[in-house]
Amino acid sequence: MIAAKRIALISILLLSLCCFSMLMALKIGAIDLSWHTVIQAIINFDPNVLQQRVVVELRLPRTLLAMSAGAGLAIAGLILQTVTRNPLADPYLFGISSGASFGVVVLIALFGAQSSLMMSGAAFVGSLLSILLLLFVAKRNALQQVETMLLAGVALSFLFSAFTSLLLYWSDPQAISAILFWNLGSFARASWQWLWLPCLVVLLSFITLLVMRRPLNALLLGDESATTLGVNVGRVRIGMLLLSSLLTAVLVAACGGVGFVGLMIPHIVRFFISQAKVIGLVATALCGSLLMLWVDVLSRTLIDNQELPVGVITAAIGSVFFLALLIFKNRRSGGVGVTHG
Amino acid sequence: MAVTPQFQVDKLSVQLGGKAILKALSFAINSGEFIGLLGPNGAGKSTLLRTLYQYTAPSSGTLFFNGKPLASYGRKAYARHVAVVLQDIPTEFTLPLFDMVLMGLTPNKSLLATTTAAEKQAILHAIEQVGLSHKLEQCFSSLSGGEKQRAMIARAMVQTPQVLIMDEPTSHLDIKYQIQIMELAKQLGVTIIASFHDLNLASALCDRLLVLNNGELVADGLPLEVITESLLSQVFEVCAEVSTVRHPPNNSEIPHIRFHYGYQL
Repeated sequence: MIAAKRIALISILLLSLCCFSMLMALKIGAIDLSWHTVIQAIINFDPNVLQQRVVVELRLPRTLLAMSAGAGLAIAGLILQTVTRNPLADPYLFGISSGASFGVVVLIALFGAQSSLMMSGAAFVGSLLSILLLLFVAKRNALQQVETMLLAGVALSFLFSAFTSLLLYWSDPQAISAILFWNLGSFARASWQWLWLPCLVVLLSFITLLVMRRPLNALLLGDESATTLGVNVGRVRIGMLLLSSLLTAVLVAACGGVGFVGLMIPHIVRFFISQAKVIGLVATALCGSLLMLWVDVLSRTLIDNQELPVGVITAAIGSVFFLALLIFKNRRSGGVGVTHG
Repeated sequence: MAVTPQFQVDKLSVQLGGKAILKALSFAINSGEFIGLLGPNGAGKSTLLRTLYQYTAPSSGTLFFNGKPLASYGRKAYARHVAVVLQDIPTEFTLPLFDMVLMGLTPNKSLLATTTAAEKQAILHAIEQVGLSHKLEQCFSSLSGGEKQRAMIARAMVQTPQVLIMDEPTSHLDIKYQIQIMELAKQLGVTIIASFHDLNLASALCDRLLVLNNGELVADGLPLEVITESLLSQVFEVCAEVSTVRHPPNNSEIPHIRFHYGYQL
């Protein structure tokens, strides 16, 4: 059991890190602002000062979107890893992002539409389509649900990729670059007008996760053990899968495909804090926020006058992280995750 | 006055994939009994236990628990009465021992309830009883086989059940832990239904033995009545000599099997 002191320490540390990082994210950027300007913009916003408008109208919504996307993807990853009992599950594993790209490609290639709102809508519809197909397959095979879901997810992923490639093959270069940009992810589309949607969905999902934590964690013991603990395994799994899919679909629609966060963050947090504790879930969400916030800052500042796609940075960090994890695990074989007779 | 049995099973049959696994079993189990379930591989022991803990639905026949049909209990309500210790627990995730035992609270908690200080105390007490207090924060997957089984029993204690069902709780364990695990379970003072491979161990521990063969109940009675040379040759297809020995705590007579070796080839 973690002592109350340690829980308090972790919470204070993470929360102060979040506050500090948010202020840094508002300060750093294409034009570096003074602390005075940032503070002024927050407590006493004057729309006539250009620098303050940069803070409030550009950087703040962007930072908030990055944070909610990070928290949301981390939560979605945690849920999927738990319901599939597969530590390598990722929110994009089940073809959700390829479904989203497919939606966007159809919109651009067939209707020629390019408005960002319509692209978000198309991405959402595409993700929903892949979720529905997955649920349709998983529902019919209750006994080997986990295996069926994983295999069906991979199959759907390839199916949508094939359709996407086919449509791209017939499209003009402009559409191809739009799709590419979409897939790599960006927070540049953040605006106050639509920010509430991802924030609200992430918040509601997090509350649901907290409420459902006992039955959800019971799934870690296996379907049969969870049943003997009074958990309706099929219903909890499908419900939580639906929740994480909707969450991912909303985030894909808001900021494109940002991989590896949902895979990486629950993994790292699990090293230090058990997911059976409330603080473990809170830490997962906050660490996701922190990572995404700094990835966004990097994407804005690494190269002068140009934005790097967010997905490129997360994939780079994520793959290095995984290689390090593998080497680390092999070094101390018998360490975490290795079973003893 | 007739006491309602804890379990009343009548003509229970289970078919899986068109194959009859259990064929018209009838028996009753009284509260507080320690029942040993025996039978060769594939006899239907696990399936029978699964129907008792509501993981597998019966194809026909009736099951009563405390005088009410099993199906009339909700999944969660039933889990408050019946705890189950299974053999294989997936260990892909790093779950500390304390959190593993904590899961015993699952059927007793509503969705919004937090874990109270008294419940935390009960968890610590259960872990202490199975002698794992020094491994509280250790990862469940890093425990040895015997320690894992003890942890599962602690989880069942936290569940505060009336019945404990165990599917081969002593397989793959050193003899020391086989005895230890079963003594721990017995200490709970609840009805225990457990399947065994070790016939001598089952004879020494259980009040009553049920023997399954090809999905049929072929024997039901005291160990002395059930364990006979003819049953061993007919059901288990081995040659053995059965004698009786005195056994603590009440110096009662129990059967003792001595197997013959080296006659099958």
